[in-house]
Amino acid sequence: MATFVVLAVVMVVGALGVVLLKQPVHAALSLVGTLLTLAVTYVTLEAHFLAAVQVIVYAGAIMVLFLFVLMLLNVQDTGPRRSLPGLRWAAYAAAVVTATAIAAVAFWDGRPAPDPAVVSLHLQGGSAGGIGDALFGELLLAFHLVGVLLLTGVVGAVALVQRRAESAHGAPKGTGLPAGRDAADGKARALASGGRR
Amino acid sequence: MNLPPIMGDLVVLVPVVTLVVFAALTLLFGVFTRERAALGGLALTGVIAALVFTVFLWLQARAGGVAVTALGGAFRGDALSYAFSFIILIGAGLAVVLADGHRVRLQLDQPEFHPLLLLAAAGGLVLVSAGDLVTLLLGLEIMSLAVYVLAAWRERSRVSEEAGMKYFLLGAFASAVLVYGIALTFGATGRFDFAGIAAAAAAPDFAARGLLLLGALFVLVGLAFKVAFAPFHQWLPDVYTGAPTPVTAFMSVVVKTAAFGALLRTTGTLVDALGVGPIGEVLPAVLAVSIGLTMVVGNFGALLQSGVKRMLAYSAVAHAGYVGLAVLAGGDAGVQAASYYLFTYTFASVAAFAVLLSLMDDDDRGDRLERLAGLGRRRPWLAAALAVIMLSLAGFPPFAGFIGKAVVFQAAIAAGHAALAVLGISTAVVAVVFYARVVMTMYLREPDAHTPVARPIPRRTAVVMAIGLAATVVFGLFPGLWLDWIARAPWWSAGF
Amino acid sequence: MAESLLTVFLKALLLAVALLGAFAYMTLIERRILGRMQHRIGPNRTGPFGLLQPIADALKSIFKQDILPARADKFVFVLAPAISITFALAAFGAIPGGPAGSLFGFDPWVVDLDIGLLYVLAATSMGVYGIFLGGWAANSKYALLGSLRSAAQIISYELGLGLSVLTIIMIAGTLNLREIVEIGVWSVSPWLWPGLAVAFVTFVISGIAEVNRTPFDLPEAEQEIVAGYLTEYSSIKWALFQMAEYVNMFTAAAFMSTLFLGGYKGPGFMNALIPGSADWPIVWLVAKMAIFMFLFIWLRATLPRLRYDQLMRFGWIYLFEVALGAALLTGAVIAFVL
Repeated sequence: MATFVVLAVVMVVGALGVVLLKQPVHAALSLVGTLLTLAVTYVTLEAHFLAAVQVIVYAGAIMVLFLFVLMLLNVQDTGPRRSLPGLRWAAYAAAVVTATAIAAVAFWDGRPAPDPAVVSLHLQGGSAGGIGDALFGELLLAFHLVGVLLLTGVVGAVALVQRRAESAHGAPKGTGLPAGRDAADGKARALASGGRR
Repeated sequence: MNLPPIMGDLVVLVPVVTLVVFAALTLLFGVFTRERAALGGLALTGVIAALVFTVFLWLQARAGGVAVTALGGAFRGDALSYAFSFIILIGAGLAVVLADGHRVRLQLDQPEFHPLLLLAAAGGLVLVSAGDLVTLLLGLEIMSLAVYVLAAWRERSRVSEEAGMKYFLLGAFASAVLVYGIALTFGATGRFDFAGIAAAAAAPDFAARGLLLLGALFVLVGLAFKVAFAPFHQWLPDVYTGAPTPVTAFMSVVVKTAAFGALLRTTGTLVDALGVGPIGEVLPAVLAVSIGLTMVVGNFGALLQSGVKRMLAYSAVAHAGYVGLAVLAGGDAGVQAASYYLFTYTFASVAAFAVLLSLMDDDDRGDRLERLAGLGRRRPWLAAALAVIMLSLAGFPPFAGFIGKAVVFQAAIAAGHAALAVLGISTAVVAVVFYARVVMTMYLREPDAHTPVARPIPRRTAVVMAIGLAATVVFGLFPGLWLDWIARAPWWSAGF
Repeated sequence: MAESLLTVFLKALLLAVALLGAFAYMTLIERRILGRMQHRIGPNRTGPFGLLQPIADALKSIFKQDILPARADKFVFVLAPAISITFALAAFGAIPGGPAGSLFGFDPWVVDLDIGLLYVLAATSMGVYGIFLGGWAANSKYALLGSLRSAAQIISYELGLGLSVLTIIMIAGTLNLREIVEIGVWSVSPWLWPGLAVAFVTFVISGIAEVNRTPFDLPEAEQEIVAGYLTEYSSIKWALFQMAEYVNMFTAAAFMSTLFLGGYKGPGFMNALIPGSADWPIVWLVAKMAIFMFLFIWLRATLPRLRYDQLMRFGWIYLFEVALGAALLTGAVIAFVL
């Protein structure tokens, strides 16, 4: 329990850092820290597989891409923006109210906390087998739908980028070039030119 | 290899799988051919095939009288899902034809356009057929992700880019809220599936009602964003205006119908699960306030617009408020009323955008009201079509829009929301003003030298308009065609 | 046998010291071998055969002025080398050095995790942050270019790495590195050999790319971007990055040996020569690692650096597909043949 409290505090501070830090890279780093702490929390629940996947996928891949884009675009805080007066404070107030409501409900929850031993037992020592059973059992449809979702994302991303690449190179639109080779070229070129800027 | 019993009746997945397969085919076809014109036909074939399968399954379910589920209840084939899938597929089909007629002019002929439309429709089908919250979320995301891209489709158009960006950012935020709500609901009940949530909440020792309420509120907010309930409607006017008009038509029918299907199922389950008492009162109260606000904001917002496309966008918000009355009414009556409203709205909305398309410039701009001046004399048929649609949307008898409002108000009053129904009727009077303004401009105002002449209508667009117009009139005169048909179905609560 | 926390701590300390010592002498070995390959002599002045050279280098590094660029992001600038070395050292901990209890009654590893394989992947994937942030924090264009290249490269080649590992996981059916060694992936069935061989090649290539070695050393390409992410670093922080790079090489070599070459197990015929010698801890692992370390140096002396677009195309269009093919082939063999 004490471990959990420490980890929870670190996670909340990290999450606040994501929102409050001015420098985008710092905010992203704060998010990395939060995700890593979450992985440690999984370890304390003996969910080792989940912890490793959390680190590899979120901290090791997704956040690196996040930071990559932040650095490539060199995003800076551009100072005050035009917005409705008081909007910022209204947002803070809404956040505080929501957080308070959630905390209040959480503390009023009458149920006893589950025994960690029981939780660990359900997690089967954090092995990959349990997750595999869930993924290819009751979540089979969700698993396949995620595939469709990723396909949609890829098609959408290529559609948006490809059009820009085509018009940037002055190629006639809608000539029906085979997309695969060209997309890879475009991607490599985009990365390369980004690297040389 | 023998399948585990969890598989259930996989046949209910056929419409969704059909759409995904045709999306993949269209994608591959687009890679290997220069013949872009064929892609629209292929996409339409996919939609029609899915429609045929849906109708077939629906008839089968009616004959059997029970809801069919697949994969452990994750995917449901009941009257709600079939009725809404049917509406979604009709809307998608009309939008595909509409886009095809203006494909080259509006630069929609990139090979990814149709696959994304099909994937969005597939996501919509998943959304209305979801038996658990995870499937629901994934359906919503598949649909939304495709539509974000479609909204930003117009090249080098800041308005379109703004539309896509705005929709994406706010949509992602709404999804995050939804996911959080799902997590809290799971924390309260330990289940993702609607049946399980209902069962867990019905248990006598259920102690987490507060947590469930919080989760339900977050889920409601996440879905309210998609159906554009006030105060989560603010993205809608900009996105509808900025997106290419065929995509706007698609969004106003497919996305809206799918989101309402999910909202009906979710609020139905959650309101029941929360039960009676002070905690159970909160969710309907919040929903009622939001719906009241939606009707007011939508109608008065539309009143202030000078562009027809933007006016239709605000009116879409207002119509969401009316369908919301049916959601609030809940139960089988609410679902039936909502399905009738959305079914007829689909035809009217697509037809309205079809007329608008033939009036607007090649860059998809120019929707000022003044452009309609003198249309009644220059293009009497086009003007008549638009007039009928406007009157139907305003709720004039004998068109379908009138019956739609009538059944919705009836359901709301029957469920004890008389005050809200009265508010709805009064705002509907406001709506008459801005719809009538369109009609008046067409017939009474003289065109000046700058008023452009409407271009000839592509045949495919004319077909869409004819279908929309015919349905608006026929279902207005004979509402029983739809209402009686769905009243004799195994309804959504039947399977639990 | 569960060991006390103190034992684990001492073993971890010992491992860290051993790795850092090995780093120091690896630099010497590398320079000597490179010298020979390039028809030079290499450093041989400091001490017999140049054996004191690493100590001289270490002293020089420590006593050099530690420059902190004025416009740098100070916190991140200091944090970056620490991240690099921490995760580099942490990754090695899960690699088993011998059978249980073989090291004077102790287990020759720091931690024995059920998911050891994923742990190593996770720890090495975190190591990229060191390079990545170091280059950014320096607020210098060359350093930033190095960072961006490194991030893109490591993400791209992680796919090939992961898919090659998938072949092993499918055959062994476990993520525990010790169990993978005990099973012996090559001995399962000759049908699996083609898939394994391809996966081995793709794994070694992606592994080299992951540790930023030639021909994949674009993040610090001297001829184009000064020294990449290292440009603004000096003194001990520079040395820490160097250490991390070599420790990562050791980890990669040990990981390759453990997954594909039987890890700590010696060749069977050794038991005929000296009974029990195939079970000696550490020795065989180090010997196998030496092969890979030599390969790394050899490649450095032989191959030119890839161009950036070649790197990306190779990673995404060839390596990824080939590794995927190997995984599919192995899966098919397991499903339909065995």
